[in-house]
Amino acid sequence: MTLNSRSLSLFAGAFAIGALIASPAYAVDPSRLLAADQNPNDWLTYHGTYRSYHFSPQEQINASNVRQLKVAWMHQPGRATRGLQSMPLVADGTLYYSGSYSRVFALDGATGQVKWSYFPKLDDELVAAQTHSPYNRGIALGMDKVYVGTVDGRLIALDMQTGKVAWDTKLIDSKKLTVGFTGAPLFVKDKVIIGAQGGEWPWRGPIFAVDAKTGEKKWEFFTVAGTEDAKASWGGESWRTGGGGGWMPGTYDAKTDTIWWGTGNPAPLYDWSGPDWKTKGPRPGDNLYTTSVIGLDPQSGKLKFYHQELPHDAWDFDSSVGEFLLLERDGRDLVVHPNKSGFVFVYDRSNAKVANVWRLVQNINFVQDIDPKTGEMKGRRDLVEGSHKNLCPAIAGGISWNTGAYSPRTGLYYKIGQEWCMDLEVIKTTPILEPMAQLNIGANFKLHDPEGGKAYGHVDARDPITGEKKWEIRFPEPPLSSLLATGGNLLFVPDARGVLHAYNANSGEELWSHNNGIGHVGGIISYNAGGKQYVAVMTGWGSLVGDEYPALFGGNYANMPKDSGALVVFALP
Amino acid sequence: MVSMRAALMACGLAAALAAVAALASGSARAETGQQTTSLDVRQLFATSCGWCHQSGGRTEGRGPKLAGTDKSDEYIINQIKKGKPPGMPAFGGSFNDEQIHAILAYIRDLKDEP
Repeated sequence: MTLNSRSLSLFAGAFAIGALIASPAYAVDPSRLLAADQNPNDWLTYHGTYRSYHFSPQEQINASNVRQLKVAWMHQPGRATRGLQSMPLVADGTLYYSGSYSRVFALDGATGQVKWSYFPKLDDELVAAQTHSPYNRGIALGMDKVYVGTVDGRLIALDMQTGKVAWDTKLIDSKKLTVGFTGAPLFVKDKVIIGAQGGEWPWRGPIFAVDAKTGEKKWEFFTVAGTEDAKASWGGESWRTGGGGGWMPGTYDAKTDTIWWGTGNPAPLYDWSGPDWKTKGPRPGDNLYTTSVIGLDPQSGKLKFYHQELPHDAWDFDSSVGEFLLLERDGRDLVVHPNKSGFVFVYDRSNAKVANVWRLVQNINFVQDIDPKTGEMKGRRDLVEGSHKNLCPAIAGGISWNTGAYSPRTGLYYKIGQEWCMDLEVIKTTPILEPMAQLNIGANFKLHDPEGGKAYGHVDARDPITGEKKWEIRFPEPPLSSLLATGGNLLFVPDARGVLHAYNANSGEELWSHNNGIGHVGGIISYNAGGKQYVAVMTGWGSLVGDEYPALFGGNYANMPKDSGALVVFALP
Repeated sequence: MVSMRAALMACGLAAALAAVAALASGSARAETGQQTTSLDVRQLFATSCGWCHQSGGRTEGRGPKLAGTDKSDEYIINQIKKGKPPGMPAFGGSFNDEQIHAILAYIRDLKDEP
């Protein structure tokens, strides 16, 4: 047969098409993450989608049939020290989750059958010397891998199909700095982003970006003094032990190609110089970029914009907690982010300019107010060396790191508020760095009830932009779990006593509950596998905030196990 | 309670190290703890131990109350060195015996009040 040019071009065309068909598509291609809100069956990233709604569009389970919801299957990871604090993820009917000690599991989402499991070898001696350990808050999916951080400072990638290690990159000298990673990573385009622990730990809390294919570190952004401008906001050498960190996952806004992230508080937490903090004390100045929301360029890690929610944070009310809701209102692109203090900030999505600030929580006296138009703090309560009574909220915060949920159906933002206060004695401290870093708090303290009543928690249904309250549900102890809203008009709240509640998302009427037998300090999601909707919740107790409950609330908390937990999955019969 | 002694010891050691590290802050290596003649355990609690052993060890919080503990010296020393997972870190690699004893003395001095 002779080949003429026409035959050749036909052949070339066919070959090209063949090559395209034959080229491997990634299981979780970055484009899938960008379009995640169009895929109601999965839960591809920590916050559900990049919009961070913690919302599943699934409607099979709904307000009229949720009364029939029952346990479909469970999984017990073992060694659930400090409970299961992570957010499960689902892609194409397979559920992935992490347990304490960064154990990772892949399960059939319909039956719970284990497809594979992976237990990393950790530096046990180091783990034994850590306080914020050995819990893990979650994983990321991207391309063909599962990504998980470890408390000994590594980021590990596992093959999604087999669980085999693709790469294992050490990012932090945890033996020296004592901190590592407890937060979930975030997959963005071609990189995996993860933030170090920081806060009361005297270092500089970097946020890292690692090449998803190779594991090579691409950039790091120091939340403490990450730019020359920022360094100037730390008196003397205090930036070296500034704290910071970015230990919960933020989100990615494709429209502006920006990574949004929340940063931790500075160290020491409490400043003995009181109102002279601009020129005196352990860390004079605003202490950038601690207790801030920052916008980073995904390619370079360079800072694009920021807003410091609390300049010179003197109360441990960090910005690393919570979600970044991407919302639109009146033609404006906005971001909603809760601060640990109990104030909720609303930002212009293009530049982090403050659009509004509203209060979720009642017991607040660390500041008189925060200007809703500018974000300026008015009437700071700076605490000099010595004793102080009734600081509100307490160190445990008006909110904690567990996320709320937003329903685009009801237009409501559901969020847990915490009401408690504390007495403290501010004392001069100096950072401990040898032979390994220790916590640098700056005070002795004791939590107690707020004036006029007992400490308690509440789940509010609010307008996310204005903060207008539609209703609230009170709990005798604040729930410490994340929330879930669904297209079936449901709000799921896993409480601290062990009961999972389902409410009508419009009215707040309780429709169903189930006792999981132990408190909740982790995530909850919904997904579809084989045409059936499931709700999966982490159970287990023992978070650091939960440690306060025996002294504060008594009851069953003194004996609630801190080494147990299971993934419990519900479905209709 | 079981972990109180160990916690106390750990706090004392941490205090000692705190003092040392304070001197060393910003410089390449810290002096060793053995050169510290006096250990400010009260400062240590405000630096690290008080995170769990609240009100300077006087009240129950995340960790047990240390004031008035009925645990033996040996128990406390061991607890500080080995910790009590998951709550109490092991401070055995961070403190020397002299520092641990200073913490123990602090704990014994705490007034047991309601």
